[in-house]
Amino acid sequence: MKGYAGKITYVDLSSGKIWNDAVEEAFARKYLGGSGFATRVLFDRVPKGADPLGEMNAFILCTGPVSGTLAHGSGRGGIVTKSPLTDYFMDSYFGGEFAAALKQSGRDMLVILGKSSSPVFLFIDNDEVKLVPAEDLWGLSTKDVQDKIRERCGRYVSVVCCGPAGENLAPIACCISGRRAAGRGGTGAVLGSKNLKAIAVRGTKDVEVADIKGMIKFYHDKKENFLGLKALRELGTPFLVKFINEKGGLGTLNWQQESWEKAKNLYAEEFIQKHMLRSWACFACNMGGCTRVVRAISKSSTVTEGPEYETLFALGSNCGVDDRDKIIETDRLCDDYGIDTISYGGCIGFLMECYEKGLITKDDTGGIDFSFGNGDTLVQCTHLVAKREGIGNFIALGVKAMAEKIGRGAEKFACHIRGLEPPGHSARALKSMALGYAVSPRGGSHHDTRPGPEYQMDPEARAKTEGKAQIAYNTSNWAVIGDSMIVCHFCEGVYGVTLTENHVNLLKLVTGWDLSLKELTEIANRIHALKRSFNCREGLRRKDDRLPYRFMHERIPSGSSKGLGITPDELQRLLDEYYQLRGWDSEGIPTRETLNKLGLTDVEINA
Amino acid sequence: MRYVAFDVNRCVGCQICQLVCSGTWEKVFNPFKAKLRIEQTEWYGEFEAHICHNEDDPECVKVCPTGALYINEKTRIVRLKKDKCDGCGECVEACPYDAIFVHPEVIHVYKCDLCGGGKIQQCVEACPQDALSVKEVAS
Repeated sequence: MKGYAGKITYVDLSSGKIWNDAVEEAFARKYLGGSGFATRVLFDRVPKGADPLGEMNAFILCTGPVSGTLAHGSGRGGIVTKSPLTDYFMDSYFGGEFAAALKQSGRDMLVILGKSSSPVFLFIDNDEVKLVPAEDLWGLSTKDVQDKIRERCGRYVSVVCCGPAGENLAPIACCISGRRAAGRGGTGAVLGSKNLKAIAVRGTKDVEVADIKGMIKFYHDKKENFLGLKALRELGTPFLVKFINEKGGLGTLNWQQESWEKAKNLYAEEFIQKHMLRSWACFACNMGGCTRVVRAISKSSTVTEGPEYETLFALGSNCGVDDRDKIIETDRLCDDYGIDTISYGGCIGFLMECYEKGLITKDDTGGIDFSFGNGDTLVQCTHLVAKREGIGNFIALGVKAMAEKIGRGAEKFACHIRGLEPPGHSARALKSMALGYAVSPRGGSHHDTRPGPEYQMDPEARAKTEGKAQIAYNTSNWAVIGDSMIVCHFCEGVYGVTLTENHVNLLKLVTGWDLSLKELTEIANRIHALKRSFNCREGLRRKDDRLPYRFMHERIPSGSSKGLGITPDELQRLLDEYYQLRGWDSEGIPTRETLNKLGLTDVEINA
Repeated sequence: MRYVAFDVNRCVGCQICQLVCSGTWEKVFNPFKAKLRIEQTEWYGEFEAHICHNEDDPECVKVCPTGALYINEKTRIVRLKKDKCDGCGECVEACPYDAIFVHPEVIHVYKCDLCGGGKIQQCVEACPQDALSVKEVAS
């Protein structure tokens, strides 16, 4: 079977048992790979009500048929698990070269079950899989642990690891691979809960595709599409700070406003001119290095990779911090400790507003000044979150849990969707994103529904609800196929922002299959239905498909999207439309008929 | 001397050169079966390229005990006769550019031969950064 390694490795940390399952063609054609494969295994392996930080949760590392090939943006890998931050389904993707290494080791996927009794790391050396004691690695930063593992296992080893924040079970902890983050939903804490510090892979096997000549030609034919993404190529994701600020959708001061005068200090050009060392690209990406390595000008001279747009929004405008050096320092510390910068910035911004409104004082914060704009607080609290000390132990829980504990109206400005802090794409300025967040299997993620199409519209068109459910449906179909192939979502410029013949053609070159666009859309529907079924089995219903109070009850107060917002009625109408498109009932549960039609006859939601 | 030259200021480490190289000549995607290698040795460091320079009187040819490595008289490019190579690794040790590679499952070594010395070099064509180019140095 071309495009696939044909093997899934299971590791049960409780028993130490390691075994392989073959990937059958029927399974591959049904679930495609990546997110599709992993969602099926998660649904089958993780029972209803399992504690995300307990022995029953699974931690799944996945690749797709496209991983390890020359296809544009094929360097991404995925982590799929049940989230300790949301208690629902979670998948988080990361760049670098780990996915290619895992595929080259002869595996499509790695499923980690159970819990080790003492710290270990998993070392995969092509066919060999072994658990290695890791007491000496426990407590190390994500950089140091990767250095140590390379010293021990050789330089051609790719690593996924958690940092101290994950070891200490912070629900906002992420995983790091190389210098890239699988940021969202607390995957680092799941790794920590399993006493598994890292997974190291050395893979030197071939990746075979159906039509290799055709793939090289496809690469050359599409090369210019990427080269055309001038802004992303030259400035990286930070180009979005200016773009989105001018659109009036840049979350600022905990989303009290969505445009910001001081944002100009965070524009990409500032980083390029004053901080940039070099560009860096993921495996097989011809974008030209959308990531930049930068250095702080201040005494710390901190070097970091990024900060990406989402980090500039979360740590910057959302916290009112325009000090680039403080953001660079915080970004690096978050990477070293393994903390998700989006959730972390969401948490600090929320506490800053609590502080501003007098709901918390220095007595609660251990003397730390939580005024908006305080960059030192941003830096200082990373240490406390990683160690779970003082106010850091509180921040580590995420916005939802903090708001519940603070009470007294704090929930009215607690910005999260099912516990996941939203990224920097406005739900009020982009109606398809509002719906997308509400129905996202992950909660506040911009990687289910995609914001691209609505950014092309003027505010008047964006204010309308008509057609927005269709946009959410179409873009989330592409996103889930992108996450299953797996290709980077920035490849929208190459392949399209909805499913297109490009995706069909690429899959044909890789697998040799003659899939139609209709069949590919059916696979997307199937994976969405399965993710939804996982969440519904956990108890998720229509009432949980909601947005933060602020997004639905306060309009954007200023900027070019002034007056835009989304009312509860509008959201309900969009939900009706979306459920209908997906074949879900009025409670948002996939109907028996829909499941059967998609070949999910064995999926039981009320089991 | 004709060889693929590398511009450290342009490379971003995408490994597309290695993928196209192995895809073209080995019919598989495998950066470890490419005839050149790009590496980042330090955490935030620059990239370095390991590519054969096709010197006029190269050490690799001198140390090769089986005669697998030889100089093509017409193109002056160092070529490899795969079936003669027993993978002893003498050339790997001798190469001043660290530009000869071994794969754990393959007997013969890998080294750049400018795609046979023809007009088109696959890696140069494919590099999205124009970090690779063919350089000719008078000997």
